[in-house]
Amino acid sequence: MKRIEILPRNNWQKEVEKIGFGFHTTNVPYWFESAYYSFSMDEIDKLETATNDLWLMCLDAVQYVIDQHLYHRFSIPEFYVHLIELSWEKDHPSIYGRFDLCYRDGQIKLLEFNADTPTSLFEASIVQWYWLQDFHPSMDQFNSIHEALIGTWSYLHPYLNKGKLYFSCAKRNLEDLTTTEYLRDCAMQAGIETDFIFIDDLGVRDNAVFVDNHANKINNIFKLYPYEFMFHEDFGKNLYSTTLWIEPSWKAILSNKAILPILWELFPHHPYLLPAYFDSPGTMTNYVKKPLLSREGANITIVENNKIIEHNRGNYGAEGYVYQGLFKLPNFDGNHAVIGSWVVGQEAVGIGIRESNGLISNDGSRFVPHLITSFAQ
Amino acid sequence: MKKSKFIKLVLITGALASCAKKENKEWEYGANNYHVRTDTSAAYTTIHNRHWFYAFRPYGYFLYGRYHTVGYWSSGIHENSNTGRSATKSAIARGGFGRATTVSS
Repeated sequence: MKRIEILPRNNWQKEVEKIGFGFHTTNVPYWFESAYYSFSMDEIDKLETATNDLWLMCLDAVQYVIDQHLYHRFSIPEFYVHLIELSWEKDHPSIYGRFDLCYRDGQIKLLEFNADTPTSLFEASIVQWYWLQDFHPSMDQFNSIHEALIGTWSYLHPYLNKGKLYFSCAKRNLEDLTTTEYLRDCAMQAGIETDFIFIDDLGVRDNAVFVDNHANKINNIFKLYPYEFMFHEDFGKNLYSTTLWIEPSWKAILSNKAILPILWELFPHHPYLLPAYFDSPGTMTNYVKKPLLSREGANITIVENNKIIEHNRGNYGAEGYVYQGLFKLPNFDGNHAVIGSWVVGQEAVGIGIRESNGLISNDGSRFVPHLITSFAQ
Repeated sequence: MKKSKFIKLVLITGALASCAKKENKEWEYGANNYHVRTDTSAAYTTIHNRHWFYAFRPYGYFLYGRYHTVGYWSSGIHENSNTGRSATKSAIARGGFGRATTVSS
């Protein structure tokens, strides 16, 4: 894995806007093509294997949490336990998820799993692919995300309830809207009839029937809106309706940082895992303190030799914390890279890389494209 | 081979990119207040114009193959201004999800 500095395309902003990428720059650059990461095929194969293995381990972990009734560790309200178990037993479909991995010194370590509402999907699937066509079209990229999404929607189509599949996200966020509309685009190409409604506009009638803006019943809905919010909002109690929700509610287990100590308990000293514990760091002197439900790196503290070396502020942590062994991100001249490895339809299908100035990835991180070189590095 | 051969997008192109344009600051921070309601049976309530609210949406139901309009609705205004005395509208609750404005992760 190498970081190579290059000149960006002339008018790259226009190039990415042409394909629907409108949030390439905020107050700091988000899409960053003045560099790229190169991988050998051997490295990509290792990432692919790790992602597939981690996915299977996560499925085992869900079953374990259900069997042992460990929901209190996840701060999941008792009211929703049956909902989660129903969705698991009925095998309600999942479309995607993103593992955040650290790849350093030949080792791959799981940092966390964005299993419920992962974003940066459009950037990984579309934007970096178009970049490669302009920059070096003969080179390869670990990226079959687009075909996998269409193929998975096509596979899931017969398992949906009759009627449209709605797509939904919160208002006022272009990143969320782009991710949601991109997923909808793929579903349409899979032959599914779709519609869109903002999550704020969802209606409920007769106590538990979700309806759209025209009072039509919603039978299937993809939501880019996390269960940890839904469980505590007014309509949460209506989730026991016949509406099929994607992602399914069993993903509330995997998207929670409490899954990290559970995985360590189930697979101690597994090469892809870092030691992780509830309640305290134990004997670790180098560790990362993570809230169960933090987003965008908020409220994360990095401790080295029992001293805080980095901390992000935020509003999370009320539900509790986990403590995970410290495995620092690789440092490329001050750029710390985390690999987002995508699972679509139960398989590893591609990666996207975000880099930060610090060790904690946050909402100021940059998305940097990648390619595969054919030789070992 | 890990790379896609061909990518087609049918839905999102320039439409989403154009959403990135910043809103009119004058509209966002102006001093005027508005009083609005979604139909004549609903009460007026104040909208401070620094609040973002979406256009009213037509609201109704299909019956005997025809769409019957019963009014309009917006998540940007007070519930009292949405429902009024319309029985159909008041039978549907809205705004029960979406307190958070961003979920990116």
